[in-house]
Amino acid sequence: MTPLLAVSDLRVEYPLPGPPGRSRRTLVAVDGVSFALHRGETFGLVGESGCGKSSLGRAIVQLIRGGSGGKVTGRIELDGTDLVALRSGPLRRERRRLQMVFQDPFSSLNPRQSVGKILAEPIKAHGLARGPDLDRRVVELLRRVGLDEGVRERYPHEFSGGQRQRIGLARALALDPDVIVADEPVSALDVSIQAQILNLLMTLQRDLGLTILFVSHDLSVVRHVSDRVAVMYLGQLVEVAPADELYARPLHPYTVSLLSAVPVADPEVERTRTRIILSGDVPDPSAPPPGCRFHTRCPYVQPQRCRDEVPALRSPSAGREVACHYAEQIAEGRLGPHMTSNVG
Amino acid sequence: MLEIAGLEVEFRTQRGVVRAVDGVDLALEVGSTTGLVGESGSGKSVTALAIMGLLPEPAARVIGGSIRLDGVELVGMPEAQLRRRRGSEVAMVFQDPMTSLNPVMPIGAQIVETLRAHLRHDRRAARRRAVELLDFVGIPGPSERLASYPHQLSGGMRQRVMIAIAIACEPKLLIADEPTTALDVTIQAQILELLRRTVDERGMTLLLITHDLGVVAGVCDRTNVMYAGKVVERAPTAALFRAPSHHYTRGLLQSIPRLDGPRKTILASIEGLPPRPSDGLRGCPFAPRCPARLDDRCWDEMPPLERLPGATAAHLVACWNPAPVPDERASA
Amino acid sequence: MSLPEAEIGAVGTTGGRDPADVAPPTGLWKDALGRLRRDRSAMAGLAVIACFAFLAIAAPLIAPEPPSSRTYLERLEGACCPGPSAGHLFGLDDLGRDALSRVIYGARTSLLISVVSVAIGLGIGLVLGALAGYVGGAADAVVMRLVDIMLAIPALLFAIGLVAALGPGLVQLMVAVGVVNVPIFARLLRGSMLSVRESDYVSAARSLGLRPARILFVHVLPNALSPVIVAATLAMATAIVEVAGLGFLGLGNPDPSVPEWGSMLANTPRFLASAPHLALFPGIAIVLAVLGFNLIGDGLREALDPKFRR
Repeated sequence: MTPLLAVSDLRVEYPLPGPPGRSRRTLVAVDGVSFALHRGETFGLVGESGCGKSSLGRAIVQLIRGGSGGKVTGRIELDGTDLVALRSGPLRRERRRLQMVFQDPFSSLNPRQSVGKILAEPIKAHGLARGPDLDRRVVELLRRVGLDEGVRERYPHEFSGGQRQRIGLARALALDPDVIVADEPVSALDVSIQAQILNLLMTLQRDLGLTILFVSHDLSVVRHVSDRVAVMYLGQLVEVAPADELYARPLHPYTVSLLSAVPVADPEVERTRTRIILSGDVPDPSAPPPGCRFHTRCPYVQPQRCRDEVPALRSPSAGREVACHYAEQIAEGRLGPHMTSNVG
Repeated sequence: MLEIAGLEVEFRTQRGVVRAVDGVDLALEVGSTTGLVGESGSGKSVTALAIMGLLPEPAARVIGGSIRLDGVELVGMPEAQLRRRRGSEVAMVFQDPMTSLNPVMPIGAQIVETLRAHLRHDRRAARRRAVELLDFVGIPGPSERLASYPHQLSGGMRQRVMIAIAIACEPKLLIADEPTTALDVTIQAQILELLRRTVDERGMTLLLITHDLGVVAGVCDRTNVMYAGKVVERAPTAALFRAPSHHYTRGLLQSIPRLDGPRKTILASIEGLPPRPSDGLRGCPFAPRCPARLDDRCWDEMPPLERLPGATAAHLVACWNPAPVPDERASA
Repeated sequence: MSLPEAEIGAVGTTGGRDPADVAPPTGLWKDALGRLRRDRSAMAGLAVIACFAFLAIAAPLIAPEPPSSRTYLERLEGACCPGPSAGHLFGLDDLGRDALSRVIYGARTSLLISVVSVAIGLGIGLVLGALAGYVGGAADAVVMRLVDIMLAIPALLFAIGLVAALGPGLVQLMVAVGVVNVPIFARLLRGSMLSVRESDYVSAARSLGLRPARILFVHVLPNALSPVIVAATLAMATAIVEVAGLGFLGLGNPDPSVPEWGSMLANTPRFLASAPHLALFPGIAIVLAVLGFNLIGDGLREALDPKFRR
């Protein structure tokens, strides 16, 4: 099956402010990332702040392009068309197939446009409908996201966070896109509202056959909505797997420690589970460690190889990918935390 | 140790008076860790600020109730006396370690300042103690770190510094208001571990305020759930999670996806939105969203926070129609 | 999260709220206007400016005498400038003209100058600011250096220089005072455009494939304009003071038949001991107008600030 969206060797870099005259340093936010989205799936992308997951999402929807600060290299192919190489005219037409839902429902809607205008604008801009037909489409969009048609006259500031997120979703759906990139769509919302929005996303995906790239720092939420999950650390993917398998049998030590750090709302579980507490902070992304980027914090770190050799994202078994030299040994328990191995 | 009774706090806003905290009772025993859980606007942070005497006056004001720390009434206490207690008896860790540290002062100086304000340490002793504290909270190379400025530290490190400052004068009560909300999971795990260690090793009492039920489950002995300015359920943490009785607590627990739960299912969600003060609800504030409300009573009369029938004595709930407690023997 | 204002739609159907409770929809401008209306000091300022505007428009009907008509001094034995009397409420000036009438006619010139000069400054400033803030790159660098240079020269000195270069005349005066404001408006608009450009709704507009011109005029500019509107109102007050200052220095309006508050003040030091009323009344007019504009400006600042919204 050919993928709907194929990202290959994607690199996003930003110039860092530095002393004038000297050669500028760059921050490589995304460094050689490749993956593919299949039609109709939800692909979760998790990682901690600064790992580059948002840059990756924004690069895919073509919000980072030359000139506006960042530089993108590599390929982002939507049904075979490389978006990175497109000129702005043809790109504007392709954009309708690729939409984004933003994190902050308070800054993602133009405060001076009424809800009706917000939803009608993209439809008009692409000449998809006009007159009564346009009105019908707007009402239909509102229905889809669980809002009443009466809200068309209202302005964003009159809504709560959850309702604004619904409007943001409706706007993303206005152009009938194939792919939606949802960048932390629920993390700004209260717990009781999060569930409403997640349910809506899942329902929309099922009903409309959407393909979703779900970017989040919240492992539980990603697990719940995703079919496959990729874990990102310092600009690179360290593990990709079907959601069930990733959470049941994580292969990369970073995934393992990330999962063990997530608080579970159950005191019994909390008391009995083993927790791996990673030492130290995430290294400065503008100067990532050599070799495996995780080796400075990895409880399984091996003295030589991890520092010297960059682990490639390889496939130890069907459907799974991991970037760790010792994934098998760790999984089989031949290598424990803080142990030096003589294997491999 | 800390006893709050009938606390009421009002905010005056452009759009009228808002009662942010509405009759909260709370009792903390020495050495316990108590969780205060709620969503934004539930009044949990305002309660903490009231204990600290840090309400933004004159917009906010305590209009009723009492806050007693070791038997001493804090409500109405003159500012000078309150200031002496802040830091030495009660200390607070805030959500955002970037804005709660002074950006133009080295962290060492900020710790020393606190120490000298309360303990009359001389400069040398204060410095020594600052190094000890930084070491305790897990900052590598503490004596070199004294000269660092907040912006040179990561978010997790800054939160460690905040904790060092808070515990500098060995307060009896430590209030942590969303201490890990701004942090990543792996850093959150570190900070929670540090808080647990602080309580254990230093014999402090901890009041942990958070919106995250997972955090409470891992840290607290007892948990209070707040909704619309009221405590709606209170129980030992294990009992609360095993048998949540208030329909709000139940709704919250069911609406969070769990790492060990089913996937891709439609999550149980609490419909609607928290009430606005202008709604003028007389009865239970959760009634408009409650799946189990009784037609007349819940709208008209606020249920008291009472012992839940059939549960342990410590399990209190403010609901006219609480969810039944599963048989303790069956679950044991 | 702030308290939700409207509880509408299918989301809240279990909310059990009375639909009549829902307020009519309000746009942001309308909303700001509503808040401005509740601001007493801003309304007081508006009242003051409205009064002056009325005086300016209706001057020929209200003023007891034409501004240039003289009451000959021969008829008024004694000092040069008689003080207030029943016939001349504000007294007479050194040429025997009715001071009340001249203050009323002066409102015309002074308000006209302040409005037109701010409009000139706004026009040039907005274009430069938008160029710097939206096009960026080299255009930004050039515009901003120009702005820096202009800001380095003290405002009044700059205006004096411009008047000297352009020659005397009402229009030249307006241009001079207006140009002084250009760097302020340009810099403000650039700054607020830069921050609006980064906001998610602009990103959303880009990802929806809207044309750059539409993004600029519908999404960026309207949201970047508030601080400039506030500054423009405050600049009207400054313009009045600047015009008065230039008038005082003899660089004001050269035509004596068209009275203007600054020029009226300019004549007074010679007679200050004997006729303080000549300084008093135009002075009061200037203070009131400046105060009025400042009150409106402060009110607008609060009304347009999203922090004060709901």
